[in-house]
Amino acid sequence: MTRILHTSDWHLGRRHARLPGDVGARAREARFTAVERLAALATEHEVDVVVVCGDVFDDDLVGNEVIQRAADALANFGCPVLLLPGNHDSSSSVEGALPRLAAVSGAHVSVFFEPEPVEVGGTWFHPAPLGRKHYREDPAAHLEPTPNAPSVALVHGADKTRSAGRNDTNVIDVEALVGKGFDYVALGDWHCQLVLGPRAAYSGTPEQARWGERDTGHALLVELDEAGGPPMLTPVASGRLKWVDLPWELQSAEDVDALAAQLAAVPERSSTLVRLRATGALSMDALAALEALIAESDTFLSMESDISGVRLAPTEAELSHMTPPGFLGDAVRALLETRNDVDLEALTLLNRFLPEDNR
Amino acid sequence: MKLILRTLEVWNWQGLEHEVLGPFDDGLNLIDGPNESGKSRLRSAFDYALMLTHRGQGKRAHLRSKGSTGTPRVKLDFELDGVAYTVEKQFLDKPTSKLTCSGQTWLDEEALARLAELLGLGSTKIWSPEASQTGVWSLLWMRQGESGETPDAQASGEAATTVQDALARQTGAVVAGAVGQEVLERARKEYGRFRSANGQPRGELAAASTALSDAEAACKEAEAARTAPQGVASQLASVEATLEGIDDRIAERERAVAEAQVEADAAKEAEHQLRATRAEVETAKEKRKRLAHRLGQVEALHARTAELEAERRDLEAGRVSVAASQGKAIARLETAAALAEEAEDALQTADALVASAEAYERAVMARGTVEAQEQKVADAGRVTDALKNAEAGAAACLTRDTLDELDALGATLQHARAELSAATPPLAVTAHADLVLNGIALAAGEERSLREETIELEGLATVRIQGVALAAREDAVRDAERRLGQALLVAGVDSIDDARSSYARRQALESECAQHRARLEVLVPEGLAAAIRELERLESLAETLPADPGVTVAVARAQRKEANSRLRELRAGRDAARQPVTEAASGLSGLAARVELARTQAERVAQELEALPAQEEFQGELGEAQAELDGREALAAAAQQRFDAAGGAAAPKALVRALRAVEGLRKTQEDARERRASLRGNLETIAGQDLHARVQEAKAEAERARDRLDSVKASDRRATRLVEVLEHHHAQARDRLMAPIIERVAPWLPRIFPQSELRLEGAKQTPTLVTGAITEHFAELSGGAREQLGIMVRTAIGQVIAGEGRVPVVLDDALVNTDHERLGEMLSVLDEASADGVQVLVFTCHDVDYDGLGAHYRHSLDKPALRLA
Repeated sequence: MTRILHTSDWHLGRRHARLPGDVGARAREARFTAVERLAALATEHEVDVVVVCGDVFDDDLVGNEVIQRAADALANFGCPVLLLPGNHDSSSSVEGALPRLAAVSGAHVSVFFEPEPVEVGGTWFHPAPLGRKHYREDPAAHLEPTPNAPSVALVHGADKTRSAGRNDTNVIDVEALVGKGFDYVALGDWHCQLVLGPRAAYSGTPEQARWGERDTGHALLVELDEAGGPPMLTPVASGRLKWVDLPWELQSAEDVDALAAQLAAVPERSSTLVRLRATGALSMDALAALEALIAESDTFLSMESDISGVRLAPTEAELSHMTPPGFLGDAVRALLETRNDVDLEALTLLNRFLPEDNR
Repeated sequence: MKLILRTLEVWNWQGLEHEVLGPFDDGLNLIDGPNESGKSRLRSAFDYALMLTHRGQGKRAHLRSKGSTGTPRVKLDFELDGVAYTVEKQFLDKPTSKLTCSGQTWLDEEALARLAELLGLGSTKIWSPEASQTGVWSLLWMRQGESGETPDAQASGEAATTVQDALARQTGAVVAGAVGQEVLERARKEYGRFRSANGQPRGELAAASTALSDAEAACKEAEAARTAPQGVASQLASVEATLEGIDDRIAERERAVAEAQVEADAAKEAEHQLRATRAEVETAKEKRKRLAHRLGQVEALHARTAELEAERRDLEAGRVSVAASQGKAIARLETAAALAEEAEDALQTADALVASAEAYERAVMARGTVEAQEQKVADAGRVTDALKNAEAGAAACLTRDTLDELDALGATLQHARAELSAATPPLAVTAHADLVLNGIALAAGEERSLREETIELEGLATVRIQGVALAAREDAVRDAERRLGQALLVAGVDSIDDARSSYARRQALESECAQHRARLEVLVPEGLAAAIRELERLESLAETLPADPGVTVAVARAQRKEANSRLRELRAGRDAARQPVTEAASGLSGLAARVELARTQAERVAQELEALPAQEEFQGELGEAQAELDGREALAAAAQQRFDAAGGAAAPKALVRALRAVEGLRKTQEDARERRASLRGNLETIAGQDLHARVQEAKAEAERARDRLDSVKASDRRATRLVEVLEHHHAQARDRLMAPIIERVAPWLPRIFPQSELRLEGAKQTPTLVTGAITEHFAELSGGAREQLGIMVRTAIGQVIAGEGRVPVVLDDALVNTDHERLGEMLSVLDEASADGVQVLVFTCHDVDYDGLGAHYRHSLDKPALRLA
């Protein structure tokens, strides 16, 4: 039996530049620590080989310090590591990221610059490396399993059955590969972990890269059956950062309370990045509560909030209290009369300027 | 509020020993006095009495009269809302304040506090009467020179609040006071974060927009840099392709150079031979050309000799012909000369005949006119004699001048006599009895004229008759008589009448002379002497009558004219015959010269021919030279063929081109190698720079800038809308609030500013005049207009504050720039204001101008002698 740790889409060198200050640096570093964690998992599960199915780097032009940091992380692996160029690091020139990595990495690290199969522990690995970013044709169409030996296809691209009707490139006919007799088709490119069938799966990225991604932060432990049966696939967790996306509709103080409860329930706040996109309409009190809630949410690794979609909708009670003297009262009535967005925003601003006893 | 000032009393007050003003009337009060009489000092005493603290030494030192040790004191009686108060303050020495009312007394700080409370002052420690301290009273109590200042300029926040509160009470409008101002200011400040006063983007809005532009530019730059490695790699591939196979291309070009070198050498040898044969051809050509030239010279000399001989012959023939013509012309000239001489003789004969005929005719005519000339001379002689007689007679008579002189002397005499007569008194004595008067006896009844004299009435009186210069006038008469007598004697007449008769006679004779002269002018216009000479000439002609020539003068003259005409014709013929003779002589002379020239030239040509070889000899040499030239040209043509066969001039050029090609390829190879090395270096450098990170950072920055701009725009939109709404409602509230002031000024305004309208503009409600399309802000008005409008507005404010009550308005020489007419109107305004809510106190040095004010209370201050210092 051959034990394989299947991973992909490390995207080393991604800057996470939208994240503020140290948060971006932590997200960048988290991608390397995820690799180090994979090395530990490989050791822990006594794998024979680690296959990385594309997009080791976020780009072919990452800096040399990224290359060196990657090489340092790879040095932690105690087994062969097979790297497949993906669409993000597809250049095969000597100045490309993978060639530079190969030049500084240990002998256990191999990069498939050519579609030549290699054998590790009796199992043959057939790579379909991408020499450029986009292929209109199936980049793995030429792959053929090794007769009478366990064969694994290493590919990077979109599954054909899930790309129907889309103008995708690098589309791979996974079923055809399985039909050719490959024992396992190891895929990369999609960041979510997705098992396509008994003999084909996307491992997903070992560390989530942005809000909106699901089923990320894992690798797959693949155990090939010597008798040629379907491999055993076991997800192993590798990610640390949590990316919590909260599109939130607010119409009442209760909705604000619900949001507060949701935020309170988030574990590991120091490793969690929250994005709140609030919409709706709130009373003055509820809006003040929302603003206070956001101000108090500074214990997350990152709290990105956008409440510009929340309009002020004073209650009758609030309006009855909001009786500033003289022309201020006239202005309040004029702004409330139209109830258009700009006037309500202006009213919110005016409310902020009024003394406490006039609000 | 109802505040009435009643009585002011000061002691030792800035030079005023003791002065009392009041009790003042509720309405108009006038305090006048010359400069330095103490008006302004008394005016300031109100401030000290009601508002300023009694404390302080340095700041109050000016209150004490110079040189005085007296303690400055002030006392003021006033009524507030119907309650009588008295305030007394002492300064510098044991300073104190004391306020009493209805038996109650407040001292010092309590008194100040109570006063501050009563008057609405913000402080109890007011050191100087400044707007920031004395509130609305600074608006209503004007010091000297303040009337022209903008009313709002003196209004502190407290004063504005007081006015606004009063206005709010009357209008019910609320501006929102300090809260409203603060909110408005915060809104404006918020707006100012994004936009300038005129609405242009600035601050955060401009910065966010600029940041986005910069970030997008940086993004493009980073992306461009991101593609750089691809470009470098592409260039590198191109360079590699260039280097591939370039060695083979160089070797091929070098072989071509070797072949071109062989061809170039052969062409060079052929060219050398070709040049040698071409030089020999040129030598032969030169020789043949020289011989042909010499032969041409000989042939030309022979031809010239023949031409000269023919010319000589032609000239000889011409000379013979001209000589024959000359002989004939001489014969014709001689004939013409003889005929001309005959004609001259005939003309002389004709001249003599004309003279004879004319002499005869003159003699005949003289005989016919002698008698008539004699009668004419005789008549003229008689008239001449009569003229002479008349002239003599006239000369013996008096002239006009003499007569005028005599008339003048006569008139002088008459005048003298009249003067004498006038000087003689019309006095006469009639004797009633016989008497002797001055020795002259008068009989009774006799009358005697009296002259200037003294008459002795014996024993009775002495009568003195005194004329006017009688003796002198008698002398004048005598002198006139003497001068007239002498003149008559000189003129030879006895009287003036005789003189007039003599002059009349002279006039008659002069008339006769004129008639005689006219007659003579008719008879002998040439003069009598000339007539006599003509008579003598005629008589002489008549005596010597010549022989009759037989022809009349006219015939003789016709004959002479004919002879003269013929003579002119013959002379012309003679002159015409002389011309051919002259021309022939000239032609002969010219022909002789030309014959001589031709002969000389022929001799010279013959000499030249003798010096040259014979013509046949030249022709032989020329044939030999041509044969030699033909041979040389054949050799040259053969050499040309050999040169062309070796590649000609193209061979060396081909060699140069081949060498250049090799050199170019080697240069290309060298450049490509250098370029390859450079590109490889570049690629390695670029690849290690993490261009990917740069792109990501730039994109993220652009997104952040975009988000920031959206956020700022939203904030700007909010603030802009809020300020817009607040300003609008604030302006409306202000207009409502200020309406009472404008309404109060409205009836006064047309008297001073016809057709104008008052507006209170801006945050400080600055008075502004609008006249048609012209808007004049307070500061833009003239000094006079400012003080007039300012007083109206201040007075109206006073009325507003008074409400149903009354407050004092104090004017210290407030209308100094106002003309007489407007002053009258302003006094009328003050009168009306005093009837409605305002107690007016006017301090002025122009007492006469303010007579028309009709003050209910008036006090005149004395001269500066009051000033103790």
